[in-house]
Amino acid sequence: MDRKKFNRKYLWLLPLLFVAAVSGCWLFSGTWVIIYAVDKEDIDTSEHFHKFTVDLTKESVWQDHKDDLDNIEDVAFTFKLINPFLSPATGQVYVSSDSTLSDSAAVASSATIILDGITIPGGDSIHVTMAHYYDLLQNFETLRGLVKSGVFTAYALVPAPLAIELRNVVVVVTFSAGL
Amino acid sequence: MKKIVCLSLICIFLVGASSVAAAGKFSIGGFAGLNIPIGQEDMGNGTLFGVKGRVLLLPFLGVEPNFVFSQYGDKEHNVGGETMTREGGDITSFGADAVFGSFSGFSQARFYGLLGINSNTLKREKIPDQTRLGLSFGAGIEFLPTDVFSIEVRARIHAISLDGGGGRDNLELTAGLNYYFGPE
Repeated sequence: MDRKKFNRKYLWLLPLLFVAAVSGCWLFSGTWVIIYAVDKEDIDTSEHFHKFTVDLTKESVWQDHKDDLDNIEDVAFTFKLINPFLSPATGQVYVSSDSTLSDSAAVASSATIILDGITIPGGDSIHVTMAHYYDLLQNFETLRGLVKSGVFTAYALVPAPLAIELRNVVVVVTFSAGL
Repeated sequence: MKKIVCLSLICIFLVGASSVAAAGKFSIGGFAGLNIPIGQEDMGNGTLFGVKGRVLLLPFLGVEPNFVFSQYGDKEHNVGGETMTREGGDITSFGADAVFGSFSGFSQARFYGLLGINSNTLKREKIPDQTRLGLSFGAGIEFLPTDVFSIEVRARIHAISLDGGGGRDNLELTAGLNYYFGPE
């Protein structure tokens, strides 16, 4: 094989090698979605204070990709809130890596608020869908950091003496990882 | 990183522009097609359109500055038995591709490969925008029914790094028209 023919034959490989070398791992990356339903029994409820822990490490998709996990791309909560009182209630959702916070004061001082201004009319209920959730979302970067650890606790609060019922909680997590 | 990308793009553009006179042949064109996310469960197929120029530096090498606007399709998720839709988002990209193939003469069909670098601004509802480096590579075929017009189709992999790690890879399938200027 003469030199000229050899060079031309393999010339097309050079761009691919260049791209692979420059880009590193993100050239071979994908995103996955976990839809995590929180069992009703796993919600610790005491009228105006509710908490539940999300443990993504038990999910098979997470387990498959945890070693190549790059980033949390998106996190969404959906849930229903029922207000049995006649007066309207305004709720908040916080997240924390600490699952031992036991009252509203402790949550407000050490957890991160992600949803504020959730208004539930008196004697009525609301369904916080993904669309509604994004309208209320704040502190997204902190939330992403917490979710990346795989385990975090969410707290839903309304001011005492009002009470709410929290139902149908689903957490939708999108993460990127190497292929 | 952003500065490096911008400087690289400027250098490529200047090299290309300064070579127009020497090369004597360049084109402008537009294209549109499909944007297909690869391995991304949170995005659907979308559309894209863009404009580009092509400066032929050598008989087998050219540079294409380009601007592309791509959209991802919305994605529906079954959340607790209810279908909820997440908006897909979009990408605004500008950059330059090096194209290599046989560009001499007006043969009826030209096959070429391409390799490029680009700056991409990713936007998605309620998520902070991010401007990130991207790389592209692919191949195309260009038909020249006349001396000045060409029709081309191409497939391009467009890989974009993400803030904090990971990336988004897309397959872009496009068709376009080019108009050539300058002497042969």
